[in-house]
Amino acid sequence: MRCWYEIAGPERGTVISSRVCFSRNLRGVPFPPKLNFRGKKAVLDQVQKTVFSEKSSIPRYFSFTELSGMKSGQLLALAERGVIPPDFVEQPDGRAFLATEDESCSVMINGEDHFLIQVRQAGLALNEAYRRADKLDTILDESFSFAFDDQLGFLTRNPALLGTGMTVSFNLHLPALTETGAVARIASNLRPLGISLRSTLGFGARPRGAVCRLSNQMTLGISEQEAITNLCGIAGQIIAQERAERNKLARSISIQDTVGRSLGIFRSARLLSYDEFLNFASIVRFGIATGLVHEIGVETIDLLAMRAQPANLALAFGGGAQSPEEECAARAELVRKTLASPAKDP
Amino acid sequence: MLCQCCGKNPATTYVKIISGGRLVEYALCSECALQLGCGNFFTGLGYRLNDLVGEFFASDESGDESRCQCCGSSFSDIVRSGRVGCAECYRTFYDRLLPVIRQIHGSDTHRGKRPGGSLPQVQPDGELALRGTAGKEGKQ
Repeated sequence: MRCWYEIAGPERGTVISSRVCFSRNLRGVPFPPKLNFRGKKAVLDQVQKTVFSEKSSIPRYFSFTELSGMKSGQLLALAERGVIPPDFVEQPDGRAFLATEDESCSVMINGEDHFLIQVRQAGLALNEAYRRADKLDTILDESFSFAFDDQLGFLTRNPALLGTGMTVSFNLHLPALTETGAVARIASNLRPLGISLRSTLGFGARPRGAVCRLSNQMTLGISEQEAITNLCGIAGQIIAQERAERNKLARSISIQDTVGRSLGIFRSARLLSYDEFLNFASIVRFGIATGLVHEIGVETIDLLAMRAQPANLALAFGGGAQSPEEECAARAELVRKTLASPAKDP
Repeated sequence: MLCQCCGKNPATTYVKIISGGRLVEYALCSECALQLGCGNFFTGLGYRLNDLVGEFFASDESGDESRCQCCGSSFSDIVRSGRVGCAECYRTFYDRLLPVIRQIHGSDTHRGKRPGGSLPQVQPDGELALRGTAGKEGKQ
């Protein structure tokens, strides 16, 4: 089965993915950080028993995975793909997740809250992601009865998530706005509106790989639909700005030369560090979106971006310890083989 | 040490993320940490622990700090960590948490989905909508 990021989606040239998360907790049970291992295990047992009971309305295509005993390389790979949060890697005991095979839909158990329901879709598809997350949330609520207060809404460990307990976000590829230095200005303008724009891959003034996460900050006093409408409105404006800047840049012979040279190095290199990979992948993705590169689809670049991450790469190449040079060689080989095979949409 | 996100303010919060195939710790200022949803909302909003806890002790003659019956958290535990111990803490420390919640969200009233998602839900524009029925939602 293909993973969610391998599938085409609306506005994929700028919007890599849309994501909806719900933080939920069981009634009458302390939040996970207040539970000892036995308490966490009791939550996992309850989830497992409920999910796999004959009367369960939770779809059968969800698999249940306990993290205790998993190797750190496997945990890091899951965290890189966003299936589990980073803190699960350090403390896997008493934690688990439910996930669909395409990894678009997952439920992380015993993190900061008892449940973190997550749905991801390729491209600009927040309403579709919300519809699926809402449906799963309703099914889980019927099975587990979530902690809820009439005034404060869904009760979460972090008071900043009270109310809907919902975080909605887009992963945006903004090479042109990064190049013109506009990302920091836009982020600062959005802050008072309760919207955050930041680098997805780490921190710093310049987003790595020109990938930014646009997400909501307000969850109380605002409905789910209002939060989604607000975020989609802001995303629309950013996409329009990015497109206008791309069109200007793409007319420059110097930029066209950079794209051509980058594509040449990307598909021929024998060694690629992760930072080099992110840089070339971003330039080539820009080239595809602006029509300067025809023979590759953006889905191929996004697939590579997921698989070329260090832990996922190590796992694909046997899972053993790699020297920095071996890692760079494996990444370059992955890129060469992937770009040699597909001939996708222009 | 300066915040590794904005590079302007002193770092007060440490956050771990996956970078380069391993867990890496970043030092952030309280403002950036709050933006990322990982900061302490009390200190981020300019509250001082001594003020909050001191005010609490002043109203308690015995001097013993009361604790949540469900998880055992005290109010000072919540202020220190910026996190609540269990759902019951919201009831136990309601009067003290509510002003902070109002300050974080600019509101203290939930307007979204309620448990029993298949029931008709009142939408913000006052219209009724049927939620969660075979994926078909009413006018939103």
